[in-house]
Amino acid sequence: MINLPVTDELLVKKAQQGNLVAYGELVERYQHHVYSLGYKLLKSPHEAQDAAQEIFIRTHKALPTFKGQSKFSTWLYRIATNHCLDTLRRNQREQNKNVDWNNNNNQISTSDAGSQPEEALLNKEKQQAVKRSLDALPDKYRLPLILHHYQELSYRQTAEVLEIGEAAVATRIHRAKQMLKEKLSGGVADELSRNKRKSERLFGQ
Amino acid sequence: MNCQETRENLNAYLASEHQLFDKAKLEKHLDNCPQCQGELEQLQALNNMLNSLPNQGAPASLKTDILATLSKPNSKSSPINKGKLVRDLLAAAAVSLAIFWSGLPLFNGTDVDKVNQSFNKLAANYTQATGSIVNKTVNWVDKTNNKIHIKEWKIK
Repeated sequence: MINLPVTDELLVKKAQQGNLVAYGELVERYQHHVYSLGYKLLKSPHEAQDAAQEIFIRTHKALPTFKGQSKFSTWLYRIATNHCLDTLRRNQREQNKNVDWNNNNNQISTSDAGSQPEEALLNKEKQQAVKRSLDALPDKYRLPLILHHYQELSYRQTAEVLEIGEAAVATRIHRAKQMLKEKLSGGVADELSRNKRKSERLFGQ
Repeated sequence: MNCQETRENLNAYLASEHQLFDKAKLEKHLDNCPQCQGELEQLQALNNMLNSLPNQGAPASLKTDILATLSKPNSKSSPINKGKLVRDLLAAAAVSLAIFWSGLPLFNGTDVDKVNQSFNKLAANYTQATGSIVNKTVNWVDKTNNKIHIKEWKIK
């Protein structure tokens, strides 16, 4: 007997009928996507975890209103993006929002470090500079960039989540990259020369 | 295709989103324009930098926590935030203590108006700061004070 893959649509239908196991399967499929979106948009892993939990609970509550006009993943991303933006706005007054991220970055960098402590330090600095620059972008440009670059959504999917046109997604990503290039100009130049050195070694120039 | 048009489409080109521009024209321009080639290399370097951010997976407990919350009867949309709950309870306890001390003169039956005024002020701040928990506490204190009043009045 051939086992056909269980589609999101089928799981959604079952979940709408109150089947929690089916909803658990949807959570399983998308938990990493939703968590990593929160991880990039919000200020700490702890906030990302709370957000992911709340997003899935809200989505479950809203299931009866889902009519299948878009893909489940698009709908989920839309709920997730709106929830993260709400959280950001709510937390805007908090002054200590970078503390958790910096602490966490230390942990990540230590485990990512490899053998060279100097390299680990450079990596950590680079990651923090990238995160700071991303956080400083206006949401209008940051959201399409994160959805496309980190969540690996196509321009069309990004457009559907944000409910804007594909051309607008392209323009905003272009603008976001220009802003990042200005903010990270030193890092980009370093990266560029590193790439050139690498290719020179490869081709024996 | 000119330089400006080429540069505006380089990100889409790198992302293989070719539906938005004429790929052949862009590549032809790139072949003849070292400046735009340099811009393309810079964007590739920027993408490498963006890739340096770790892509964290969800914690192992996430799915279990979500399903546990959903399987509870009458589960609320917001998961319990333990830190916030402790903070609210502490705030409620502190304000309750303040209300208790400010309410003490009621037991002596002195300067009731003044006490009422300060009580109302405290209750207003209290409600604003801690929400529903505070409301319940205020109501409880209010009822208790009224009972005491009635008892005092009956004794008199």
